[in-house]
Amino acid sequence: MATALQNTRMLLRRTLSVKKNEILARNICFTSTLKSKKDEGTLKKDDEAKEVAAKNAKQKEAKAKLNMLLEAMSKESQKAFPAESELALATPKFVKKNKPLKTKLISTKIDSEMLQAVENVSKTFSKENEELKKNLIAKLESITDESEVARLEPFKPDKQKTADLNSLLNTLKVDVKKPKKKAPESHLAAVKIDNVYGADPSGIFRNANFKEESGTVSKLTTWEILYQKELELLATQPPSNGFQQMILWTKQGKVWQFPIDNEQGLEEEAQVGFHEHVFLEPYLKPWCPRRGPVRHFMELITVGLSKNPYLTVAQKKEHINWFRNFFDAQRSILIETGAIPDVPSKSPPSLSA
Amino acid sequence: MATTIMNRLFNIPSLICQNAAQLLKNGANNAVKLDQPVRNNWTDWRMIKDNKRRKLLVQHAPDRLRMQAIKKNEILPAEIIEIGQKMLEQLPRDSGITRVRNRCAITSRPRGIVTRWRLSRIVWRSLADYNKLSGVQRAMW
Repeated sequence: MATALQNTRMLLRRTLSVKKNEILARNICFTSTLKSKKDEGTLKKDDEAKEVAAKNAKQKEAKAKLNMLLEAMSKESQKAFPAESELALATPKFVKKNKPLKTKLISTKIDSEMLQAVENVSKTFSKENEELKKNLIAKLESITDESEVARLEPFKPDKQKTADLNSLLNTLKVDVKKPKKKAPESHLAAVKIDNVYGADPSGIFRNANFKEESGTVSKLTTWEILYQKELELLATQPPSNGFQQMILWTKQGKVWQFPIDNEQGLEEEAQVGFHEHVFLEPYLKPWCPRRGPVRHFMELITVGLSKNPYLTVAQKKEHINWFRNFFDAQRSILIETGAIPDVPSKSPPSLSA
Repeated sequence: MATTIMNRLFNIPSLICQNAAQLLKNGANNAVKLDQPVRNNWTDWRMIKDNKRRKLLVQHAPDRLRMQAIKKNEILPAEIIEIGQKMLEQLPRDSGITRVRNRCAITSRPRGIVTRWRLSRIVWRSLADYNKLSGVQRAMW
């Protein structure tokens, strides 16, 4: 806990160190004697107070600046804008004065030159129009009155005007403050990539030697299998509804085709002719004796196989071959019992002679 | 629990033969854990045994057929028949078709099986009532 306090103190010190320097400098400028060093706690308090004071001073300065700006702006606006302006400026209520027409238009407030200009303007527009002259003169007089009043009085910021100007400023989007710390621009951002694969290869990895795994590390086989299964599951989305399931099965060929064909899936077997199934005697011919119990037995076997629609031709051949091998193995016994005629033969594996 | 452990011990030789490839692999941890229950997709052990029998049946069916043909024979000499008989005995007992029992696929019930659906009558009835069996309707005439 003590360390936390110390940390906070350090942080405060760092943040206030800059301000402290400023404040110190200011104090040095404006005071004759320097303040002596105090304890940490009091110093901190002083710094805080100084900070507040500095803030207030800054605000005042800012306000003064703003006021100056507004003054300048308002004066300019009064000159630049026409008499009937968009801004809701205070307009004088015009009061008609019934002056004798014969008397020359003399006004003490406006300059003589201005009067002459007014007369010329009225002449150009309409010779008879005395009212025009009167209006113009009156307006000019009112304006001069306003300016004199403003000059004499200390400037009080008109809230309405300031509000209008502020709105104007907001619309103009004037950047008052800019962040000093800019984000460090990455070097990658500067490169404009138009065509990613158009440039030449950099050849960074041309001379690289990637070490392969030395030998086979003891693997976890079950984990490997499960990992592969998981990968497959992730890659293939299972069907989310019955329709998708039916579609998948149709593509896999698991679904009955209409009109229903009982031999669906047995297209290969359908191409095999019945003669191959039924006529199995040629498979007996090379080895089986023409007479004897063995022949009798094998004849029965072939009859049975020929009548069997559930086996393929290959399976039937396999059966016959097995019996051939079996009888070949039991040759001696067969000869002893007399099943096979005991005649030495030149031709190799043949029971028949 | 003791029975399951004994079963596992008895099954070890056959299991070794069947899974020899996996066992001989490098780094495969094949220690039998006797303190955990064995997890599988079957309802009960009888179902598992029945399944094993069916697999053996498929494996040895052609050999069995040929040897039976030799055994159940009156034409061939007696010695040959005897030899055939002995060869048949050498085959595993579980490869015999009579040992296979049509059990319910869900409850493993050995009796009262509706063959076409491979389900016990109770399960069949419950499914039929919930309209899960195609073309099955309550009888009424």
